[in-house]
Amino acid sequence: METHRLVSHCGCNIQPFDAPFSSFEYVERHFAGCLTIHRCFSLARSFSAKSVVIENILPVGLIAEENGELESFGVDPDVGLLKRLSFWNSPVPTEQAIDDLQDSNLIGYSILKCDRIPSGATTEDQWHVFEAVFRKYEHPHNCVLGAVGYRVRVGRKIFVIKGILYAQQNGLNKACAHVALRSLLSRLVSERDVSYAMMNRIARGSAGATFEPGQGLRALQIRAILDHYGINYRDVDYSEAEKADPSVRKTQPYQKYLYAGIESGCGGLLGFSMDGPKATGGRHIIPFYGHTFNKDTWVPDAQVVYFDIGGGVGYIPSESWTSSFLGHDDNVGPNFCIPRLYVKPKRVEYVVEILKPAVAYNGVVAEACALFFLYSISEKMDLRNPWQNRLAAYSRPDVQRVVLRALCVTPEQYLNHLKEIRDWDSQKENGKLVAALKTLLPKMLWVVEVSIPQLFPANERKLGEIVLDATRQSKSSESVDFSLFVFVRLPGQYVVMSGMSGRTPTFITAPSGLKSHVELMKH
Amino acid sequence: MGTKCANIIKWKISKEIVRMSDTAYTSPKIAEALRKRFGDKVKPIKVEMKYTQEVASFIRRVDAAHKATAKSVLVFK
Repeated sequence: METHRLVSHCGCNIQPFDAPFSSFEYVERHFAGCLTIHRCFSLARSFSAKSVVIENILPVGLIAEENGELESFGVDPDVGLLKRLSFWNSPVPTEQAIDDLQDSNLIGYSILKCDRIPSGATTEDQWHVFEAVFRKYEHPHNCVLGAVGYRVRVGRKIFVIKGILYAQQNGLNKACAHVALRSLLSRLVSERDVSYAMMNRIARGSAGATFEPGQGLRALQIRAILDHYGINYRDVDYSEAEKADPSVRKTQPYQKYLYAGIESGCGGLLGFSMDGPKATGGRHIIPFYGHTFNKDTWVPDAQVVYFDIGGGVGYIPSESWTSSFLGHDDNVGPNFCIPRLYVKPKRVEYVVEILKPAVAYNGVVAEACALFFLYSISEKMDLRNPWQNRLAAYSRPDVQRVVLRALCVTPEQYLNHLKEIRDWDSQKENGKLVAALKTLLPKMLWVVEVSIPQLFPANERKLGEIVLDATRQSKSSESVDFSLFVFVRLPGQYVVMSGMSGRTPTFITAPSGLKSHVELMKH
Repeated sequence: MGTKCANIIKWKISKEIVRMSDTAYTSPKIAEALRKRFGDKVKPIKVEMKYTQEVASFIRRVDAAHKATAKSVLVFK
């Protein structure tokens, strides 16, 4: 699946990137001013690139497969151009000097494809970005989770670049939905990439002979592709869902699905109707894989951030401090910050939250279950501990200002975190307790971190977490299933369900070595 | 009429709580492990579960939205 990245070049040119080199001039002259290609050059400029290596390559692997599909659209695969561009943060004086470069010198690469499209009696050359991977910005509040390394050959050497794959549609064998799926799936499937030909085979099987890939994918075809690759997900078509629940856009905002998918390291897809003077009534879908974090964001102090699950029960979601989601827009280019509240709810048609394997329910359900357990035990908190006292105050029915952050992790990830964290007095958790938990935890966990305003954004710390079994499907749609509950860790104390007394669950408390607030879980 | 309503409410509340008959549940095993490790320091507490209906209703609405998507006719290009 990576042979197209590893093919040797058949011609190489090296271009210094410093002034007087102009990206505008170069992209206009060589790539017809293609907007998405220019975006790649702009990213390179943002990373202070010193040189760009331009290699001519031959179509192999996924690109050869695509060319096979394009023949059916009248495209002659033998006349197309294919270039691999790599951007470097150090000067590259000669091709031989590439051998001395390291992965850390590579800012990103793009594979650019020009297809000669039949247009009436003539043909039209059409450039697009077959794929590109650029590293993320180093700033710690630019959170990209689940980035994987992609191997790419430059000159005689193979380098690894860590990022999220971007790809662009061509309106023939692939549309926005294809490339959005490839962005997310290429890091989740064991083959480390997905081919458009395979996606089209699956989509055709789902839609019948009338399917034209350039006309896009239906939501149900997106589902079929995700199912084929064994990807776990929850999706919502808001138009369908609001027939039964007219308030669904408000009670299940798309941002919560996207944020939970991003925080789990899997990402999400957002489908929306186009807005603006050039809108044609079409729908577009784009992938999201990261978010920013702004501790000084104003909105969490305002009423608007309170998330009400119904009946006046609510909390402050941690995404309130997210200014932007990080994603690709195949029409514009890779690695954009898209303001979290920019796409208006009425424009959003479809959202997909990608879940980790074996996970039975999504992040918004995990937070609701966590809230249920937290608010239930809040009246029994040990008020002698000042931090439990504060948490109890923030959990009161007339306050409900706790901050929740749901993360889907393995038991190993959680236990490592539990071993590493220190409270404000540098105390750590009892090592024997952590060891005892090792054999008892389920295979996947929802760890819903609990914090309070001020502490969460300023200190990036929390008071504890509600741990849930992520692998258990709720037994009844009519109930809150107690079997999901694993335990609650509070400052100085664990609360664990010991059994049932009639219809009432019984709990025990046990001491924790962590008496105050601790750092948030890092990915 | 009043008794009938009360019975319906009781029935609904009873359905909101799932019995922990499944011994594969994680939490009681952890409780047992903590009892062994901490002995007398482990204390029982009584907790009245709050907001059961609100949370259950929310989860049902989330499930319903996902299920309704099976009827989707949306196309993205």
